[in-house]
Amino acid sequence: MTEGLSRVSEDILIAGCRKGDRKAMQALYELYAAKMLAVCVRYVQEGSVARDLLHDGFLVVFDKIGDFRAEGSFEGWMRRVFVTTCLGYLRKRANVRVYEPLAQAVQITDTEISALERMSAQELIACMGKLPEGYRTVLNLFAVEGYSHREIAGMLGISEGTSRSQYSRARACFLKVLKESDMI
Amino acid sequence: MDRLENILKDKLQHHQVKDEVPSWEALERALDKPVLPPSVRTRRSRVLLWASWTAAALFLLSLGLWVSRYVVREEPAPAVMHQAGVIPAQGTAVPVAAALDSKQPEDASGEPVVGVDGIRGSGAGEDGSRGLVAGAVGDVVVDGGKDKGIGVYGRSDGTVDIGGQPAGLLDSVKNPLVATGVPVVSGAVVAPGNAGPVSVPGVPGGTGVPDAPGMPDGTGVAPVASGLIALDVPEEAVAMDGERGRGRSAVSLAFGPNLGQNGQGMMAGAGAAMRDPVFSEFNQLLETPVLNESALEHKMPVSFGVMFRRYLTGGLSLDAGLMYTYMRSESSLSGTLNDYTYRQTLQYLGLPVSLSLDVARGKHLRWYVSGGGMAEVALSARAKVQMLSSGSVISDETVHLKAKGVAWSLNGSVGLEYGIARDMGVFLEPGLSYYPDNHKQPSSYRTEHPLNFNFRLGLRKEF
Repeated sequence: MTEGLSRVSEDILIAGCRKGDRKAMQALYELYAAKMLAVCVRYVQEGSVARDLLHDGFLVVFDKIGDFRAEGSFEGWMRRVFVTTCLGYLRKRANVRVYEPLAQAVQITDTEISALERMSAQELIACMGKLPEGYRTVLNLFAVEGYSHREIAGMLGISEGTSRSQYSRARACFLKVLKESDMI
Repeated sequence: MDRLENILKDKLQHHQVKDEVPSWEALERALDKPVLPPSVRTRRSRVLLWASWTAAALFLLSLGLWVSRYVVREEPAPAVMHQAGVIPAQGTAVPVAAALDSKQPEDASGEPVVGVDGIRGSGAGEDGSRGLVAGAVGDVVVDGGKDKGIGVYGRSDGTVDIGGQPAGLLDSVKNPLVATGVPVVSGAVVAPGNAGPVSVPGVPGGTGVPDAPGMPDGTGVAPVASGLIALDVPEEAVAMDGERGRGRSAVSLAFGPNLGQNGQGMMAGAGAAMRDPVFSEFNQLLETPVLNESALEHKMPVSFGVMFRRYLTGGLSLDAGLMYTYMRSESSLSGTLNDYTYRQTLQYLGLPVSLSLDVARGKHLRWYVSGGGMAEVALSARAKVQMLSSGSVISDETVHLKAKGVAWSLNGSVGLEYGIARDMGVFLEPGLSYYPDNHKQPSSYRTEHPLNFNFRLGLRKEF
């Protein structure tokens, strides 16, 4: 059934959701729930909290879907909703903090890159989970989501320079975690 | 973008976690709510929120119970109840006696009985003797007061003069005298005075105090502690007493709304009626208007409150909260000498609990049906009694009414809620309520109409 629904045009689904059509909502949920849950897991790690965020994020999506303008991809819009939801949760718990520098920029070797490429997504997420939440957040926003430092600065309420330095430290910390875990 | 970022983006951006995706039904239940849930909270914080609201509700309910139990009940026993029954007299001892002659009446049986209930005057005046002071025949309960009283002077011809302090009126009627049974007055002597035992003039060996001053005609003065006397005195009883006693009878009559169902003298006094404040001119009988329960006009109760809603499944939800109710009743009557108004106000705090089922839902509006019950306690129950003469208020007193225990009710309603925020809405609920009479509440719209139609207006928070 999921496959059948996934074939329905995204525009039709969005239009149905705007009208409050439950079947369209269900189809949209089944189409994107796994992807958005993965987003939530990357930010908060804890499964039960991630599921709560998925739940609340979809409620926001259905509530605000009328605001979506077809100027970009719908998935990108949804992703932004979920990232914002996750950041709201982290901000509420005051877990997005600026940490002291751990090290200078770390160079990564070809061998390490090869090792990284062999790692699964779950292994990468597990290693990211060992990072302090502030580093993990910036690493996710910049490296995975592809936001610019200006956007990150706006989302986290920090300066662009702080975002850059935080990412640099987060990257170094991540490589250190990978090495300590014998992953690379 | 360096190579690390490329790897992370490629591997993670479109990664999916399929195994742990919650079912659609769980989300659909949340969508059944008329408004969207609040911002993200952890389960722990939700539990804490529940606990906080519950604690707040319990605190307010406890406060209401405390006010009801210790603040309201500290007041004197109420005299107005919507049903006949035992008189809740808890007055202070008020000896009342007076004498007119230096000779003690031999057959006087009117020694006032002083007890916890105040005066239970009994007996009659000495037949034909001047200066006889007698108490009231029948049960007269004086609930002790402490301010001003009223002086009453009897004359030998059986007529009655009433006097008192220069002020002349009971301007602090806080403790009603309550008459029960068939009050037959033959010379209850009531005079201004202080709390506690009083000095009574000129009854050597009698019930009065020997050195107390007597009136020129032998009338004694008996100060009474209570600020209020309410005594239902049939005319014929006074006449009979006059014939029998011919003593210096003194009668104190006062207004008292009688709300007893069978009219048996449950009265709340509002003070003795004195039209003329000049001592020497108090020369008239005071009337005794009696308000019957049926004379009370009960206004429609008004309720508003705060409700909390928790969805259980689908459109079914559990509602609980706090509800304040205000009820007003009033009556007025015209006597020969004065006019009287009686205004009663009751305030209740209730804990309603109900189950609601959504019938229809829009983006902001939601229709639902609801059924449940409510437990209420009285925060305040009082009545203001005014005595007017020629349009001017000459006595304005407040009487505290008895409202004990918990008033239970059953309620069924149809509700309309408008969401003013994501998790909050205002609601209007017309419904039917049934208030079984627990015989402990004052007369009100609810006792008159146990099954009544009502509107509730309130604010509801969902979580």
